[in-house]
Amino acid sequence: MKTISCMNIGENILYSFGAEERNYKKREIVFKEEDHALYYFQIVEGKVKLNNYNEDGKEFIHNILGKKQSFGEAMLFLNQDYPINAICLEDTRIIRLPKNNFFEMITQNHDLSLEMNACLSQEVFYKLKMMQSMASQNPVQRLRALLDYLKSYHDEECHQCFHIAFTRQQIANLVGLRVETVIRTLKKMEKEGMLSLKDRKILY
Amino acid sequence: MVIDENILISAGAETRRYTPSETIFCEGDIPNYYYQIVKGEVKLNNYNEEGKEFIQNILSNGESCGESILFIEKPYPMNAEVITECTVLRLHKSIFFNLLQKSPELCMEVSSFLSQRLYYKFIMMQSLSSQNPSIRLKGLMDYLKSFQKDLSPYSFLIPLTRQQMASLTGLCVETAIRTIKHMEKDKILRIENRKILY
Repeated sequence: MKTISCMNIGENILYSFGAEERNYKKREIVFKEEDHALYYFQIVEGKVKLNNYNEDGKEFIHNILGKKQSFGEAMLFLNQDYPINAICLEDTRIIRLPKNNFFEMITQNHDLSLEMNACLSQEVFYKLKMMQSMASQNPVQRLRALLDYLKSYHDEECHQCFHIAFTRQQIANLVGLRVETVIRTLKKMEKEGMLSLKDRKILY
Repeated sequence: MVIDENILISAGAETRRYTPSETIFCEGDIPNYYYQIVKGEVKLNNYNEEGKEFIQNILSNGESCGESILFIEKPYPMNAEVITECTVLRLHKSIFFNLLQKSPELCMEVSSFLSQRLYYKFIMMQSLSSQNPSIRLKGLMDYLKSFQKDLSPYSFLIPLTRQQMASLTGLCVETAIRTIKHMEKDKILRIENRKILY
């Protein structure tokens, strides 16, 4: 499961501008907070999370990205260091393209530049939705916002058939709650008929 | 300045004036226009079920407003509410996209300001994930100060009211006031004539 849909640039174009493929192990770091943004990254296979750890070591996950998705591209456009870490959730293959080559590529391919705007907007939209829910202290509100958002990209309209393929811990870290609170709140939401739980699977 | 005002006007943008508390668009509206503020202040906000306000962002002169939603097929997830007398340029969505089609430079500029929005949200989401009010407020102040040239302590006057700071960080105004006083004691900030220096 992924949180947003974003850039998916043809591998041939990426290679023709000098991209290289790299393999990362599970838990390996692609970049970390305060690193300079030097590359455009796109996932070939695997999963990556963007996260932070607060002062007590508690993790907050901004996004989880999968196959054919880019990440961290916003920092290429700004002269700012990464405010986040990118860590592989499983063994992952990533194509990376040096920053200058990336800009050369989107300057020469105007449609990619237009797509880039759509991609960044998509990410801003997700964050607008999530920030609103994070401002709330109410765990049901926080969880519902995440579930609604994820389901809004699902084509079929259906009642409680959309499988939320995140672990409880990932959900907790995506909405800034403790895992115990998430487990309790999900049960409460099931009782109130907002979702169903089958073999530990969350259907929304 | 996001997009040169002359470019917008020659493309057919109309000038509109708004008075405080008027809305430019509301949550649930379908985006039809690109908006750019010529003069004045606008807040992007939501109200929760209890009527508590959450401010996503405060925008002023030369900034665009709600532009990210133009690129996706979704209704606005927030309101744009006018804070002070405002003059706004508005350009129909289709003309805006035509401009981007024709101009790679403009397109790149749009990418940069969308990235800027996203960067703010990375910082703020992280601080909102904390239950600790002083971490939330510090996150906001660090972000605002990061655009200043002078980064020395207490050199930056926070250009927000207590209420706005509370609404930007999802806190009650009472909590924000109390926390700001604690932060003064801890020498994180200074208060002079009710103004906050960070």
